[in-house]
Amino acid sequence: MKETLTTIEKALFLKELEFFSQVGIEQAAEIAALAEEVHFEPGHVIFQASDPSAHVFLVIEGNIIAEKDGIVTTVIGAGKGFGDLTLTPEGLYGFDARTVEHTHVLRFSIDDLVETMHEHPEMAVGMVRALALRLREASQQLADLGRQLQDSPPCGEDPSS
Amino acid sequence: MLEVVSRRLGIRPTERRMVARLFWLHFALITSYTLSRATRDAVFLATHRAQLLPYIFIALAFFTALVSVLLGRASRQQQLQRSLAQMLVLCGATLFGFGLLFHLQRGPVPPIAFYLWNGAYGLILVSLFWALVSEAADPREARRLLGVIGAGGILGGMVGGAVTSAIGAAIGPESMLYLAGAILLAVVPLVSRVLDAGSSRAIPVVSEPVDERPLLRDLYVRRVALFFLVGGVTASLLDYQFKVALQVSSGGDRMQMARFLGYYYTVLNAGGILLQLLAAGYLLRRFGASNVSGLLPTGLVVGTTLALLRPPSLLLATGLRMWDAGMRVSLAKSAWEFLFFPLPSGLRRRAKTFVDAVVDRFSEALAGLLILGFVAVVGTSPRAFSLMIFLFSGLWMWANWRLQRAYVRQLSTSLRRLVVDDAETAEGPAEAQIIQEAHHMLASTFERRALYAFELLERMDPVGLDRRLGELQDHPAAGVRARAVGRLADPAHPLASPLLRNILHDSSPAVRDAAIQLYAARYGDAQTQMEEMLESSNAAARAAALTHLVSRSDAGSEPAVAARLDSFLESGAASDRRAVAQALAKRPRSPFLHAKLLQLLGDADLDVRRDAIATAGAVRLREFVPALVPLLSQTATREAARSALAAYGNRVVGTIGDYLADASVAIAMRRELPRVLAEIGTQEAANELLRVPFTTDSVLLTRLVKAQNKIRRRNSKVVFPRVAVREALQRDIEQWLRLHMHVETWEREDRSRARDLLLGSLQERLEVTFGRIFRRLGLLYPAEEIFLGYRALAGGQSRRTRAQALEYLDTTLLPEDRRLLVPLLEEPDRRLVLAESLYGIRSFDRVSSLVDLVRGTDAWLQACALFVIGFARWEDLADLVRGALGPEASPLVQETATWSLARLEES
Repeated sequence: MKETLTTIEKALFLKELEFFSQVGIEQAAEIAALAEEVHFEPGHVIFQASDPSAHVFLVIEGNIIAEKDGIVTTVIGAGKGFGDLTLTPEGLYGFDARTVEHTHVLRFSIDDLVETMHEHPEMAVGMVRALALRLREASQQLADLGRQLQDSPPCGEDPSS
Repeated sequence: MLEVVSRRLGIRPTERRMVARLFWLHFALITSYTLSRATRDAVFLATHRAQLLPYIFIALAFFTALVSVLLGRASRQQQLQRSLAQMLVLCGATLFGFGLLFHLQRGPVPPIAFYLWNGAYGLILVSLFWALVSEAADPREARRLLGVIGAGGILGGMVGGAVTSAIGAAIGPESMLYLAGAILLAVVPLVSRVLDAGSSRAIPVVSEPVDERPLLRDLYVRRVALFFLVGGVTASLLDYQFKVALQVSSGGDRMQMARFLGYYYTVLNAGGILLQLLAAGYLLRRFGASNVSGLLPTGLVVGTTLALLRPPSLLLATGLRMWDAGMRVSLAKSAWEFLFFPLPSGLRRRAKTFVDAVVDRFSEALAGLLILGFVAVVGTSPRAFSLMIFLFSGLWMWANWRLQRAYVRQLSTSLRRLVVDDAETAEGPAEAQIIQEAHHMLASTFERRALYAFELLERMDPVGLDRRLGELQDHPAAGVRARAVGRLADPAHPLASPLLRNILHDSSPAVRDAAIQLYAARYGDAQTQMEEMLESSNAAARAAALTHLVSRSDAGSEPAVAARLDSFLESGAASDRRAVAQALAKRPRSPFLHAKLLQLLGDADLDVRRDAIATAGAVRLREFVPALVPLLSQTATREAARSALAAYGNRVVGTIGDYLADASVAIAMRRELPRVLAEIGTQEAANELLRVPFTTDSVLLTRLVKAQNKIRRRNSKVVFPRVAVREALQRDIEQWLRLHMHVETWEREDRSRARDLLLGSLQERLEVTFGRIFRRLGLLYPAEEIFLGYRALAGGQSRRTRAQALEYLDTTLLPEDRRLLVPLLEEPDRRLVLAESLYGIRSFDRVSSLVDLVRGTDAWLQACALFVIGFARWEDLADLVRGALGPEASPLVQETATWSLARLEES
């Protein structure tokens, strides 16, 4: 795997994401130039729930496990973003992020990202869309879970009877 | 052969069939009408005296109006082609009927009835035909095609006349009606095939809701009607003058008159057809319909002036009549059809029928009355009659001038309507989506997000934001409440005063701080509150008090204030440093106290830096400028630095201009400077924007133009020198053509990640350059209309909307600007030819395109081209990649060239 991406490669990666679908390719390169490329070894804790939020991460390759109170809430794969997506500095991440394999990410500071949104409001639209999609997915998961719980027999009951 | 003729006449292969059908249809209509008109005159004059004619003219005006209204109502909800076909059948059958009637009965009534019917149906048929043409061809196409289609009518007139002379006497005038009727019935099938069903030209049954308002309530229709009314009266007066001169000159000799009229009509028709085929298209394209339309009345004014200066003669009267009649059937006829294009489709058909059938006839009736009155009052003096024609020609020229101004306005209105209509059917514009999202985000409980939305709305929808200021006083985020108060601090704001006292009790110190500043500025009892707060353990409260201290102390107590400021600065807390930065903003200019700001401009804490920048902008000391300019290149401080520098106004314009023009200054910094000058917005700021030498940085180029647009929008008195703007325009057009050539090349290549990147980048550049061209035009012409034109042409709009936009540009732009813009307005295949002939830009193949891009000066496109070479591993181009690695190359180019070279060496 390549260790370092060029600005253009980073821009091409960004353009494939919903977040940046609305920005032009050259603007994506400008945004890419703000990103820091980071590699994490398997099992690395990227941040903890109580850490003050300062960054947003985009996974280029690998998988991240998001945990809350020791329970895995989601697995974040390539092309997905994580971190403090509320873009609230001085807030807390609110969950632990840990790699499960070698993981390659782009790291943006929240301040840079917010300022970039000021410059390119179209990015905010992409971001709202991406978050809305994620919310929809989460709602669907919750609904599925609810259905599964309803359909499953009560504890101790013979499912064949 | 056919191809050569079509090309010479400006007809494109896809238009040939339609033009041919319209040409023959027009030919048939006019041939038939000429035959029936000859019959009409012959049977009328055989049974009635000529003195009856003025009364017939008046009756004809009313009859035509009645028939056109009835037919209009009957065919209102019908497709145009169907209406025309039905009219052809009706008129054909009626002609047969009158033919039979004349054979069966020789009384005095049938000739009068036929005279009236002939006068009405001819105009209505021709009017419907031209309405069909105006629906089928858009204004752009009409410029090329009307000449040819109009020639069909002239040819029809010639053939009709020749047939009448050849067989009229042999078969009798009444029998010619069978021939005229048969011609009309024969072309009925042609009508339905004029436009191929399912093509983009197909006319819907009802293209727009029928406008039921009285026609003359529309100002533009009134102007058009006035123009045709005055023109019609002038033509009738000229005709009368010509006939009187002919009668006097020939001494009433019928044979001599007939011979003269024979020559006259031959020359008239031959001249008309030549003018129509050879000159109409060219003149319309070159000078536009409005200028061509003015030729006829202008020529008449010149001619009638001559007629007044010289003794009356048949030659002069013939010349004037020939000019009028010749232009009416050729150039002017084509140009006048354009007058109806900007009307909504529902109104266009009604207006056309009204003008052709009613106004035209009424003008003849009015001329008849004028002549009767003139003869009764003045007598038969030719010179006095010439004077009357001169006056009417002048009046017609004036009506033309007023109409042309109304035409441009109507085009603009029509364009606006079409663009908006088209936009409503497409997805909403990005800005509207952003504003909508921002309003949702404003309700967020996350302060940062809500503040972001607040700032966005301040720029993009200030009116919408102001409407929400009341509810924002209860926003859960203190920062938002504080910003809302700050916005209310403008004493002129209508919402300000009722809220002040409640705000002082807000739970947030930040809100109280903003409110106290406002309160202190307005009321006298603030001092007591301030002193209590200065001792508070609450940082925000102390900050508010410090602000009060700094702002209210006199010059003598400056050392004490400075000591208090130092204690805040030394406390180590960023909140205290922010308090100092904020407090200094409230102090009238004091170099002693404000010197402390310089260190805060470089503070490690971003919020402190931002506050210091804002204060620098409020104080506007010159020594802060060199510290503020570099802060423009940092994302986090950019906006604050921009506002601060703009606050200096004209005092800093020269310095900003120096940075902007200096190519050695970092491009990231230079890119921000146009916005500063735009915010200053003065003539001096505009001059500095024009002083910048040509740059190839696309972002800077666009921002320079955007800044100029912003200044013009805010201050219409600012002047942008036409020569400088035109030079820049020419460069942009050349660049646009070059980009267009590159796009053509890469569209043909197989898809890959690298090819898509390069093609996408080229298309983005093309779009930006296109927008920039229109932005520059907006500096010279009404910006709003130019913007509408841009929206219509930028894509996603219908064929008619695009054509309307082109017509607007053609009509509005000066010839020299129009010439510059020709490559943009032409079809893609013509652009390639123009690119080579005007700018020497040839088509590229893959390699020559890459060479041109890599050796060019646009860093982003250079990088994309280098990426393509490395991605595809085109080793033959390794030297080209090495050549891009020079020391003057941008970091992006160097990075990509190094990557590309590494891949080439790997392979």
